[in-house]
Amino acid sequence: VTVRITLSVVSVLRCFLQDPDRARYGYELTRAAGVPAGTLYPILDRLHKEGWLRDGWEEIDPAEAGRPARRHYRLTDCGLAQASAVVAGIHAQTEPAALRARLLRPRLAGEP
Amino acid sequence: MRTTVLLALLALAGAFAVSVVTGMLSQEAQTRLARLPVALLRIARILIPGEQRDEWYRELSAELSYIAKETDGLPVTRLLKGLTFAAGAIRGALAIRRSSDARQQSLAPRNPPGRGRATVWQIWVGQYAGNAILIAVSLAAAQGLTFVPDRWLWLLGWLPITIGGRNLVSTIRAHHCGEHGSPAAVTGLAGVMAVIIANGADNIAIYALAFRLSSGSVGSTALTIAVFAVLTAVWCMAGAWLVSRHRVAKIIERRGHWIASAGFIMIGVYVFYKTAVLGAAGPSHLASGTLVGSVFATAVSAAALFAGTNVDAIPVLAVLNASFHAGRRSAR
Repeated sequence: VTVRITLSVVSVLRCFLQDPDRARYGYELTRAAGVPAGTLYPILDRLHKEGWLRDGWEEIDPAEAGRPARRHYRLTDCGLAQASAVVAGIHAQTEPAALRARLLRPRLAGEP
Repeated sequence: MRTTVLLALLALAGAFAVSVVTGMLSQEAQTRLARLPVALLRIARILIPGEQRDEWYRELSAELSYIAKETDGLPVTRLLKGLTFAAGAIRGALAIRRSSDARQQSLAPRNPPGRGRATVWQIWVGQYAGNAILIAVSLAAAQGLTFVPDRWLWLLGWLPITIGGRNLVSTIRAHHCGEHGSPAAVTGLAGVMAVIIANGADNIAIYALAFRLSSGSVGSTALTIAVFAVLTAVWCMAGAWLVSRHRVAKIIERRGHWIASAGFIMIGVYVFYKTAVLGAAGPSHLASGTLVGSVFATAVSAAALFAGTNVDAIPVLAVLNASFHAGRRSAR
């Protein structure tokens, strides 16, 4: 995988996966994923460049709304597959049975 | 668990301080402060690689207007949200810049062996130029803070404490998760300035506080800036000296973030102390004020020296400056 998976990346991907058809805005994502803007935008930049996300601009009339249109993001088909795999992988790793197996195995193997 | 409790306490204290302070800000100060997020965003814009700069700025400024117009809360709350967002944008812009530089470096054959490194004159000029921008922004922010009456000034001590606490918590968290951000290898004048400005988001708060505490005549502000300028030079020389001593540099690199966070918290305590003795006079205050200041300064300077660029030099400058003025004032 070309995207380095950190905790923040997983939080962001999970937000996108909750409703893959919905377009998400940056500020909204900082709230929903609990990731500060300083971390979020580099992640969006990276995911966008890797082709996991596609972007678009909010369709409003700036004069009427009194503010410029915002940029939004959603998962591409490739991104959807990759993100599901990443999040599923994390779940499998942190599942209690898997954790127990991983934590106990080295000690048992080390004993005579 | 302990971290959570610490974070909760700090958040509570911070929220209280912020609500009291902002409540006292007049309408005029608010309109001036409202321009601050946009100003921060403009600074961050410089960091973004050219080809995506305009799009990035368009995106982020649209989010800022959205925050200012359509999120919940009082105008002050929305302003704070905007400030947090814009400060984050600067950090984010630096990260985007770094990854774009890294990509370009991996494509092109490397000119300098190993990591790219800024030349000596670039560090010097960059330090001065970057700090000049930070000081300009802080002077504007200090203008906003002049609306805080003297007797409420001690509350501003929560500002560095909150910043330090937050940094401490994120350091602890990064420590536990094993995430170690490698210091950015910067090249070029723009790179050095970028690092200083991006790391300076917190420092703007400290600078502004220092300017507010020493507020008064034009002369004292000019003196403050002169102190900053001289200390920046001391700083560059000390940094160059330290980097040549690898073992010392290694230790400080490992502990730098802890010391810097502690420094921020100590500055907060120092603000409490200083505002408490404000008005009281006598040589004992002169001595203890300077002593306390220089002890803090020494502690933080160790952190700020590491790796040449990546840790805050500013708390030291702010503390030295604050203690200087504390001394002067109580000497009168």
